[in-house]
Amino acid sequence: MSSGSLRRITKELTELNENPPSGVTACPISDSDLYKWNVTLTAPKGSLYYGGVFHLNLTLPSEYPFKPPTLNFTTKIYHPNVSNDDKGSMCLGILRAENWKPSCKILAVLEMARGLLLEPNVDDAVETNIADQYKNDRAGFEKTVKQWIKNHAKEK
Amino acid sequence: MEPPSLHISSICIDDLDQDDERSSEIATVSYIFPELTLLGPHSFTLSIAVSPASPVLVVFSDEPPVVARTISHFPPLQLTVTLPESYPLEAPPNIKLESTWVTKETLTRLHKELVGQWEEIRDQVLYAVIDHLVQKAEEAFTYGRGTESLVVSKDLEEQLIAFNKKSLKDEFNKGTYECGVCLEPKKGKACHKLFPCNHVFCIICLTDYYATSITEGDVSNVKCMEPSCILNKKPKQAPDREPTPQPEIAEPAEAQTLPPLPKAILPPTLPPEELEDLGLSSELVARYRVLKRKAALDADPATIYCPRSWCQAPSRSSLEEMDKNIGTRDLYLTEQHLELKRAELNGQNVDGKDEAPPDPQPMHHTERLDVCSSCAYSFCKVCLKGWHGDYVLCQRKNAPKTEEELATEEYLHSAAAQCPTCGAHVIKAYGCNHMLCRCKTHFCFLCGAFLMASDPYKHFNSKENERCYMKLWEGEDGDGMAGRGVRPPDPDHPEEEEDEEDNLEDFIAPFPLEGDSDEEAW
Repeated sequence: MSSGSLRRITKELTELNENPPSGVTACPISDSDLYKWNVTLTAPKGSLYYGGVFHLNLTLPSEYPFKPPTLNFTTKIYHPNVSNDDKGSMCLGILRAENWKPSCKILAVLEMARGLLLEPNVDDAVETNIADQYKNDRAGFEKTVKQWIKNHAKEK
Repeated sequence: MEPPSLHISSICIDDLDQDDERSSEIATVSYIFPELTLLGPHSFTLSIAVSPASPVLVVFSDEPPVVARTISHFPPLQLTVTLPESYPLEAPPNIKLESTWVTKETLTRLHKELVGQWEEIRDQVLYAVIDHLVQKAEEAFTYGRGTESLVVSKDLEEQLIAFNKKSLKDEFNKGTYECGVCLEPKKGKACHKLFPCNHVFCIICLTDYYATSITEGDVSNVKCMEPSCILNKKPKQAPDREPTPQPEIAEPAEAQTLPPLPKAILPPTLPPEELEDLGLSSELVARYRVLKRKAALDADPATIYCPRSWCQAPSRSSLEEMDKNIGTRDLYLTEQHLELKRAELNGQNVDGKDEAPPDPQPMHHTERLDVCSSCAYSFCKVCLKGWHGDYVLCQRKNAPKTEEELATEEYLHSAAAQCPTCGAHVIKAYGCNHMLCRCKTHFCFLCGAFLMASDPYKHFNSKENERCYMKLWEGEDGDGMAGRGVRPPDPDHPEEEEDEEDNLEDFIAPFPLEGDSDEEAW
């Protein structure tokens, strides 16, 4: 499958270059390894994260597209669906092995990630404390989000 | 239907005498209907395709049970025309209609209409004749009685369905489809349309994915690869492979006369026959059958396994129960057979022996007796020992463990977590330490603690939980051992002294160690 896998990734890359999704840039780190991608998300207008620029790593398994990619925030982000540690892991929706389908595309993953900046999914939160705060203390939540954006997610 | 096989050396349109009025009319018509075959200078035959714009519901009658099918392509109608010398002014064309399925009455009616066409104008009518047939064919000669009232003799059912199927396949093969997996456009011949959702993928991607899934033991993936496919939604009470409202390809007759399937325990996966059609190797299909069945058995908490440690096959009563649910009957023993077996074995302790001499006396049978489907060991469901007859009050006891059992236990202790509800053992391939068991219990992979479904991550975020605090992702790459130290033996329970149910689970020990990951790593 590995040649098929590579062909599919190349196709997706071409599609992404031809029709780049708004607010997202995504491309492989190097030409020699198409399985590791750098992703940059700019939060959409109206999002609490507006003004922040977030860097992520997208890793495609060698079995791609039979297995889901993994997505990690390298920029620290205060978000109920992103693990609050040095990994910045996400584990929800189509990123879960049991929800992933081979015809899901990288674009769908990127759009889901950007969608989460607009509206966190508190029902499937990995950081339940943050989710609780989002539900019960929106002002406090927003304050921390802004603070973290200022500290970590401002483009220099 | 084949055109009548007349052994006339083929006549070409160009050979026709253009000064001959009849030949010249045939030549004109042949430019409009190039599939027309000349039989002579004044005679031709033409197949009229019967492919109505919208599929027609055909009722195959004669006698009950009435079966109805939607059909999109019918075998063609054969029109043969000979123009007599006095045509077109004095005589009508000599028209012959043949069909393997259109009723005599309809053919007579059509014939009358066609001759009527000539009578109206008494001039050249060939185009009008053919056009009339083509139009009537559009509604499969139902004469506006609606598309739901085509009644056809039951004898024709097989022929019509086979023709329809073949035509649909030909039509499909002619198309080009973009496979959603390799994202490449492929010819229909290289693609496969899944039933009943009609999603199309190329055969290479389908077989690659299914072969990988079956090899890795992940049979739950052997279904449509389209994310939005309704068949991929977890069923609540849905039968296996629920039909969609647009059954383009008719199912075999039994499909509609079977009673509704009882609740599916698992999300629907492809039938093994479809994998065979796709060209998967027979070994993989065989493995798939086994795994599919095993998954169904494992998903059913009531399944009882043979207590012989070297066997551990599901018991016959469990298989029966499951077969009632999923309708596969390959290893199935009839109830009579089982009754006989019970009668034979009743009252005799046949510990370790396969067969007991037949005892013709019908004896009491009991709920406690079960028989292994593989080694035919007859045992008591309660004490898991060889069958001891009806009147022994038995209890589950711990038999001394063999070396193998001890080794298994040790491995399970060090590498696997156990669901606090159903006791199933789980090892982790990758992912976080929040586990969701197939019994829907949330638990912690590190310490085995029960987690509230409403807030499973609290466990990893509370400082009081020294052992698991901030360790949600520990051993993320999981090789089964990582992140899980050997648990210290529980001083309160030096050896398993569990109640009957728990111990039963030990015997069940589904060993999800070969990668057949029913458990879901989050």
